[in-house]
Amino acid sequence: MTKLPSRPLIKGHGRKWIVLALLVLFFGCRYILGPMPPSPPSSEEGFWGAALNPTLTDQSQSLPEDAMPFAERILKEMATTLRYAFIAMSMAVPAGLLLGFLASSKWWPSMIGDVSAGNKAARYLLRPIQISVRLFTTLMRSIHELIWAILFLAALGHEPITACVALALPFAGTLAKVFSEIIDEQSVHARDHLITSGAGPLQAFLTSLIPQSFPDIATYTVYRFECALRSSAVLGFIGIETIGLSITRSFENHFYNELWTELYLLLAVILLVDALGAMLRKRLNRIPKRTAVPDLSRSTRENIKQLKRTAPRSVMARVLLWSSIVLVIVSWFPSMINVSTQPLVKASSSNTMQLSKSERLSHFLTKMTPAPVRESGAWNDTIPWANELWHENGKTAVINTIAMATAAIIISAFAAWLLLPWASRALASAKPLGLFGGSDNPLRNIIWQSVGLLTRFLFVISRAIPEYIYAYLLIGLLGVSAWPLVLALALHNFGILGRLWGEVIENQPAEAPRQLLRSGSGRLQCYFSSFVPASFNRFLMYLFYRWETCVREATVLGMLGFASLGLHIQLSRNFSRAYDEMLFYVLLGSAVIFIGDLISVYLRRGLAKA
Amino acid sequence: MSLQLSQITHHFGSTEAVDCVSLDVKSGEQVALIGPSGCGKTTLLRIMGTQLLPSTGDISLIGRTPTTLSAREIKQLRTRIAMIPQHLGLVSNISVLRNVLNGGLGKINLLQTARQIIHPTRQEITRVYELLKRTGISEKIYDRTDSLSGGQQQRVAVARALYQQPSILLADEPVSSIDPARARDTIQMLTQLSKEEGITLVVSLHNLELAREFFPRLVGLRYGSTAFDCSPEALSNDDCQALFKMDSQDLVQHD
Ligand SMILES: Nc1ncnc2c1ncn2[C@@H]1O[C@H](COP(=O)(O)OP(=O)(O)OP(=O)(O)O)[C@@H](O)[C@H]1O
Ligand SMILES: [Mg+2]
Repeated sequence: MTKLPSRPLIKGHGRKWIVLALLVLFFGCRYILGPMPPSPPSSEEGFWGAALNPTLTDQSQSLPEDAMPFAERILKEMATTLRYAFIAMSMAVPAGLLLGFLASSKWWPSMIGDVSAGNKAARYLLRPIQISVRLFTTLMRSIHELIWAILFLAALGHEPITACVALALPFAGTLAKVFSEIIDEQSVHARDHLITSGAGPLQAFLTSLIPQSFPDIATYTVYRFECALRSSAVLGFIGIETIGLSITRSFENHFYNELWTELYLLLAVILLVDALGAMLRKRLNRIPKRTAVPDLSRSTRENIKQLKRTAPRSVMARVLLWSSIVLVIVSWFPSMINVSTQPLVKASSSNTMQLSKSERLSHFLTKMTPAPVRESGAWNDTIPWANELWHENGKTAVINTIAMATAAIIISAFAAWLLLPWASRALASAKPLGLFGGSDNPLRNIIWQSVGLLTRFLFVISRAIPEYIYAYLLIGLLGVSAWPLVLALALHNFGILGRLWGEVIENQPAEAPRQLLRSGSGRLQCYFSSFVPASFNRFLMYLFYRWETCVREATVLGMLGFASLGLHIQLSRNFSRAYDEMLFYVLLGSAVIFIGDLISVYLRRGLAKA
Repeated sequence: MSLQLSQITHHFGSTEAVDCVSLDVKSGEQVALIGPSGCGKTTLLRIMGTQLLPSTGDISLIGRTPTTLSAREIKQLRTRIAMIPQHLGLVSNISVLRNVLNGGLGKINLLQTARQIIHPTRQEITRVYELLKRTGISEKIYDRTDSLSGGQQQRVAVARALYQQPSILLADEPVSSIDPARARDTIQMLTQLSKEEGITLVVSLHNLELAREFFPRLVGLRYGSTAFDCSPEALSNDDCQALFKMDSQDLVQHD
């Protein structure tokens, strides 16, 4: 979206040093995380074989007569996954729009030339609002949705709506950040012109910057919906009835054929959304042209009517918009189409054994106060308490979490870096960059085309499955250590980096690499000596951006059993119900993410200046 | 008097973009600003359009002095001055209709703007249609603006300016990016509209031929000051050659 740097900032040797430094860093993380233990024998028995043999019927022999058949059950769970994703997005998008608007300064009264538009004093009032909104959205993002969910479920009871709100919170934060970035990237020519013709700053903002940023906002929203779908599936791991729940059950019972069916179903739905997003992007970037001019010999009113009727418009965008509105409404009120589902909010039961919501909440809040404070009532006691937790577990957990994220992003970076030329539309072709590459040979064409397709498909598949599910399966197969988690993170991010970097290469001017090819170098030479140097800064920018999200994910992956922040959050919740300790680790995690975010922004800004 | 500049100077840092220019333009008059690149045409037009304040000198637009006005009064003054900037300032991915409607934002409030975005009334649409008819692209009313050619987009910008119902119309090199035949059309259209509606028109042009053919008054600018200010008949060939003559200084500047 931002312009490519005209000249690479980092010169040849600098690049080599950076690659070397990444390798050294990787071995450093490997040292911190320890070696990979030998995998427990027989753990994978039948797992891979079942991949080719997914089932549509129950593997369990001991189900009650009236149990819902397998196929129906997983379809229902998949629908629930979609439903919660829709509900979460229906809250996150409006909130994200509002917060993104408040985080941007493009609608403020400002100077055009040297004449002010509107009341300049307003800026002094708006600045603090902007800063606090930015801080607030960063805080929303710095706690992972799964942790929000755990907190909310503990505080408010086990209801689906609570989980949806938990999903919506960090998503609103991310959407707000990206929306405001999209708005800030737009050209202000049109807005400034409107202001100089007498429009107010807000009017000009609404009529120029908003429509200008609409295509990017829409495609990013679809991408976020895809992410919401993944997160919604993962909610199953903490007991919400989404497809993740069946995945855990099938895996625990070694029903691998069932497991693969569930994975394929999830994959199919996510790939479908991914494809829809790609189509929408293509559609919105294509300029619709009028094909038919109606007969304009009638009255003005009639002419306008005819012109409107025959106006070129993108049907697909409209269909997508309306169908998502309908789906959101149906998700909130499924009774409208006579489908019986899990109620979002449980009816308050007359059962006296169950605590009422407010009792639960106050109970939770009490338990969240640090233990020594609960006894003595003096908040000063928090410091030694926190200090002890930090030295006991906190420090190692933080280091391990960061090491996991770093090791993972380095693995995925190297993998994506090496596979990228095979995925590039420009290079993986019998005619690289459209140049004549020897006599036409249909076989060569087919081979190159399928290499490109397969590699791109590999990227797509590996990013479609959420990290948490990879991690869950890998821990089961490889035994408990940091490495299954690192691999899970690496797998998912490999696909994302592959796509982001692929776009960088595709947007790069092709003249220099074409010149190289013309003078006789091969595809790989061309990739390493022309594409990589010219895109190196952007590659690194995306690397840091993904590293930041890896840190975020790493804090929760620990819940699966490796000594990192997630594990302690899980332990203090599950075993001791020590919500005070849990809160300590949650805050520690959000501090780590917050700092990671700042570091990443700082590094990326430095790179963008080139 | 519609436009009065007396001894206007504007500098960007150490560059004197406009150097002591005095210019009176009567209402309904048509003036062409001509001169080589970098002579200060855009800067002068932006001063007339209240986008820049002169560093020194006095300026009066439709009887008002922008340097003394409050933000609200500037806004009101701006609704009466329409500008067609060189880059046109159109929103590319919305319909022609909406771009033209944007010309009227200064006269409606925020709430009405929201209403107009959601549902433009039939009167509004008809007015836009009539204006587009006058600029010759009425059949494009519902097309996306970036599906139009450069010349057609220029006409959208003209229609947007007219929708503003301005007293002064300023156009910065409106024909720099279109072919000679269409350039002639556009200039003819602008001068015609200005005559019919009694709008004061100031246009900056590179093309001396067009300026001579359509404008009763030509103002030559060189290095930010007026080289001549006369009717096309009174303009001598020497004046013209002197205006566009390259100095050694220019050659150094445009290395
Ligand atoms: N925003 C600015 N900051 C600094 N200098 C500027 C700025 N705008 C214009 N200038 C300088 O002022 C001088 C006059 O510029 P102006 O754009 O008014 O010329 P012009 O006659 O419109 O040229 P052209 O025909 O190329 O559009 C030039 O030397 C230019 O470099
Ligand atoms: Mg100019």
